[in-house]
Amino acid sequence: MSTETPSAPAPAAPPAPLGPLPKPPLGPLPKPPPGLMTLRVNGKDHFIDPRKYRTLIEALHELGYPIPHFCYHPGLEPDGNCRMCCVNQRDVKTGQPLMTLNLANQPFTSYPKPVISCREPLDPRGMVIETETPEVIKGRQWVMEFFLINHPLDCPVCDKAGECALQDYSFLHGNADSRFQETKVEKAPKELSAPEQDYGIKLWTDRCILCSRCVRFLTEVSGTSELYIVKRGDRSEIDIAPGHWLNNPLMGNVVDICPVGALLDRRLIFTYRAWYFRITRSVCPACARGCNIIVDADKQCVRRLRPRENRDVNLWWMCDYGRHDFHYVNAKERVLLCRVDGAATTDIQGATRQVGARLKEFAQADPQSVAGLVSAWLTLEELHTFRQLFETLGSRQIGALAQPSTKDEVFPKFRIEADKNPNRAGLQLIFGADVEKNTAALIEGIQAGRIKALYLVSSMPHYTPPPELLEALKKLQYLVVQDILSGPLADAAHALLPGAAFAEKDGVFVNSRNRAQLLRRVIDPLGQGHDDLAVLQRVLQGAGAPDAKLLSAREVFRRMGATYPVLAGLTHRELGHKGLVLGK
Amino acid sequence: MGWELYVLKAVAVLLIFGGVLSVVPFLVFFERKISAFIQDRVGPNRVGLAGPDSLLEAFGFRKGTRRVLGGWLQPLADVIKLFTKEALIPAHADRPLYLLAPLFAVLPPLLAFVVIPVGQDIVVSSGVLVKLQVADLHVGILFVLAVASLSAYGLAFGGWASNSKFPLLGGVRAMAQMVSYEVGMVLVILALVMSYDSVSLRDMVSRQAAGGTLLGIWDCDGDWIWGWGLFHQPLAFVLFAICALAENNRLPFDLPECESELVGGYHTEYSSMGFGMFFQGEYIAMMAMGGLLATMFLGGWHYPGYAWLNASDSLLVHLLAALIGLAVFGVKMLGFVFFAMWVRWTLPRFRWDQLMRVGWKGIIPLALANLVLTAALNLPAPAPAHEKPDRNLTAVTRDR
Amino acid sequence: MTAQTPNPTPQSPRKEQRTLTWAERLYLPEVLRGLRNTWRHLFRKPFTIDYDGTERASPLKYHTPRPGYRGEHYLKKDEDGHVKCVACFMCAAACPAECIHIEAAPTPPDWKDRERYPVRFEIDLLRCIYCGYCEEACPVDAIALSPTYNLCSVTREEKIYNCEKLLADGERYGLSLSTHRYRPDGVPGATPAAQGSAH
Repeated sequence: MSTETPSAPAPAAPPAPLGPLPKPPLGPLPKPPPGLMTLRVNGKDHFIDPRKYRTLIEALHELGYPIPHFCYHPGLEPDGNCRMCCVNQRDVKTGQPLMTLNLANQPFTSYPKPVISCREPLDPRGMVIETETPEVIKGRQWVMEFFLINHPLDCPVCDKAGECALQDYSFLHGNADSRFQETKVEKAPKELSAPEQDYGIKLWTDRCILCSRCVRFLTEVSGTSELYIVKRGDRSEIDIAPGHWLNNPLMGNVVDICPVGALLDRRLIFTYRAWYFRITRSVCPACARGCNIIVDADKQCVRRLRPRENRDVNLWWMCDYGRHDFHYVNAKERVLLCRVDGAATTDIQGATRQVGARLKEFAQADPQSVAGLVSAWLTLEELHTFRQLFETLGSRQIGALAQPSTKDEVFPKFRIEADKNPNRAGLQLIFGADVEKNTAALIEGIQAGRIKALYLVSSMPHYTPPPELLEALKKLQYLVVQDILSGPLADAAHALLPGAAFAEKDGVFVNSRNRAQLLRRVIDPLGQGHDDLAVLQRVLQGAGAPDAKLLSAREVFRRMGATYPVLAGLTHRELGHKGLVLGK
Repeated sequence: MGWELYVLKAVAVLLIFGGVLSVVPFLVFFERKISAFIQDRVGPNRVGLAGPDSLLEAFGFRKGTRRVLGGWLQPLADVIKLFTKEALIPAHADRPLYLLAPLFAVLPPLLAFVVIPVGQDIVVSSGVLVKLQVADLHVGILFVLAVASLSAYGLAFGGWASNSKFPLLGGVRAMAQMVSYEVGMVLVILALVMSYDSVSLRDMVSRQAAGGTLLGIWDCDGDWIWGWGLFHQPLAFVLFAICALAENNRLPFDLPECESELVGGYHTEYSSMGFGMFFQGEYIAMMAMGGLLATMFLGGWHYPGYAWLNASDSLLVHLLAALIGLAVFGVKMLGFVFFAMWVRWTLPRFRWDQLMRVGWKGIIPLALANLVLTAALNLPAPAPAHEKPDRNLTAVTRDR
Repeated sequence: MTAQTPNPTPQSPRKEQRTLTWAERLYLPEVLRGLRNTWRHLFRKPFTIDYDGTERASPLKYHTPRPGYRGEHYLKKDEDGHVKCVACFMCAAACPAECIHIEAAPTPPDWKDRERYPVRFEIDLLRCIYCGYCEEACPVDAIALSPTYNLCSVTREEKIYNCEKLLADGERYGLSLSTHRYRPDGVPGATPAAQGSAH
């Protein structure tokens, strides 16, 4: 047996070098485990599941390679028009660049084009990718240069400055000076929504880079298709059909996904600068869906809400009802002072102590003469403390208030829930499923004189109490109201305590799909530094609960596991930023 | 014959202590003025008759009055301010010690003036003699040393009782620094005691006034200034001046309160007169050191021509001679104070290790060498060139 | 092979670390020299300029600071008489003392040249450290530091300057000091050559 193998035919001469010499041939790709593929990025091998990702850029992002991009958005169909995400691909077998740019001004020997990573499907046989070669970086610089040809230099007056993708990539890949000598194409800003309504979207046409994210969003997610691109070449611009206006409850999202400052919300315009924002991950309280949001606050003022990705709840989107429903946080009508004995006071400790003592007096006479009304806007921890209070008083008379439901609004990829209460499921978890039906019985009890004292914790910003409730409240001997905005409920109260808005408290909301999600404190509670939980705990102390302490929401939630089996072992930390489905 | 003496003594005591205490605010003013002049500034020039918006200028006096007259009431304003400010006591301070510390800062340097002779004895009538000295203790300089050491407690107490980090560091530094430099100072003084053959400050001045062979090698004339200790112990003079600055915590040795590191050092937490007394104590200590320096090295109240004046039989001339002596002593004492201010606005602060090195490896060896040299020169125990001062006269008003 | 050339950029000869002499280590001669120096200053005429009453109102008449002096701020106006500021918050962002407070708003319809302007522009000069970063950060050259160096006032409220006050100061300083601009090329009597020779 000859050990000599027939000499392999001499390899074909490599093609003429294109610019930088091709790198030495790569070693063979390692064999991946079954079901996975090998992705070699910048010489490093990764085993990934190709079915998990739509295109190459998603795999690269997940592996931690920051591929710049404008038109790609994980929630939209890839379009691939911006050419910013181009990367180099090499042949798996030969290691030669599949297609490369010709940098040395030599004649093209092949079709020079890197792959568009947001459009390139993953090849299950393996891929070799380079993301930081000189060709790739040069390509990005050229793309940036083209984008900046007609982009105005108005970052100082643009609201997007500070969170603008074009600005960021310009720092990374842009030139300091423009080589463009001619005059820029000027396009006038235009209103996309009806000018007479107080909120809508305005388009700064000259800032637009035509990534078409907004067009695709309105086609795919909201299904309303108001916007499209008109004209050609450098005159192209986003426009709306004459006589129509951009007006749907999801349109605020186009402002978020616009990578530049072209689309801006008229209601927020010029009111903020992005670099001042303190960013807090929280949950939108406007409906039972519990969209995950980011609350942007500047000092002690909430300035903006925007959605945050949670593929189990809201994808990347939120509705405009929730988006704009935060102005009551810093409103003038906020209840900031306590009111006891007809006089406003800042002494919240004294006021809560007095309220607790009075409630206890009534309870000592007849425990069932004290009733409580909570709302579906309170967190689990607050509801639990309220339950503790009434266990201390010995009363079982607890009802609940809630915002009336509307109709579901359904869009192709998004649904706005009818139930406008963020924690109705939590309310039923603490007090049982028929707590809201109990309210009618309570009102009847008040009218009949059986119930003499009532502790009402609302903290609902837009609640209009039913007339029969208001009528009944007049019959009470002692009415304690804890609310955030002054209104008929606060006016009727004998003792008024400040409540806290969603941005002022920590806690847990359970959404309509039984998912417990964390609400985070963004600003300090305006009502004498006490949020609802602290006020309730102080009242509990005043009512003489033997072991009542002032605890943080985190600690209260940890201890709640002992009472509610479904919460056993859960902590705020475990809920994390995306929440957990209870009982799973 | 008893009570007049007590009255005279009381007058002398009031004169000396009252004089010292009332000069302090003006020293603060002078320090500010001197610092301003050295830095080509004007200094405080608002409070007083002259200066912008002042009475004098309202009457048209303008040119030249500001620099000279402006601000001379500033000390008064400072005193009023310090007295009327609220005295804060930090919540976590050690109250008794905190209140005691300023006293310890003021009293010891004031007590040092007890034994410093500020003028020659005045013979009112035959046999009745008023000493311009509170008490002529035989232990003299030893008393000064014993009492001056106590002022370290004031600083240490202040630093400790404030219960705060910067004062504590300042107090610790003050303690270490004062202990270190006291060694060198005592060694210097020991050489002087050998040289003068007495520990009484009064004797020291008398011997300087009389001249003679202080070191056994140099027979000098007492009429002129050659009898002063400065010319017999020059090295001791320099070392003593340095130690005096260090003992007073003056620049370049002001590490206990160095502003750039310790905010205010041991008195950071003090306000109102608590701070005022520390402040006062510092200046009284400067004057006490100046008095000591004048007494031991600059002939105390002695001045050239004193012997000629004092030889007169007239009581008036005799009184005049004593008064000039008093003034001369004041000038000498304040001269040192001026020197300390001058140095302060000239030199930067030492580093802590430098301070210790200068103290232990510079001053103390040199002082020891000086001591040995003095001892060697004094070995043959030369016959005194003059009679000792008449003890019979002093015995009349002896305080023991 | 070319001959070896000497290093074309020779390093400046470094001063040798030399040990101090005995006398120098004694410090005393140096101390005495220092004392001599301060003694001379003791009798010099002070640099302080004495100004009173009328002169205090416009001290610039008495003494003009050097170019680059950073005194109180002022705002400039454009050709139409509007404030030049576009409320971009760059000065506020650059301010290390966080003493600039701005509220932006869309411009009135008759301002054709831009779309945002400050409805409120306040500088809290009590917090200001006069670093001049706001002037450097301004993209439209609207804010500048004047040579005004008398920064005293009787009340705290006086030191919070609003837009009107800053614009009035701009008229006062910006125009009256048109010969005293704080650019090297604008310094009166200073040619570029003179600038170059000056250190």
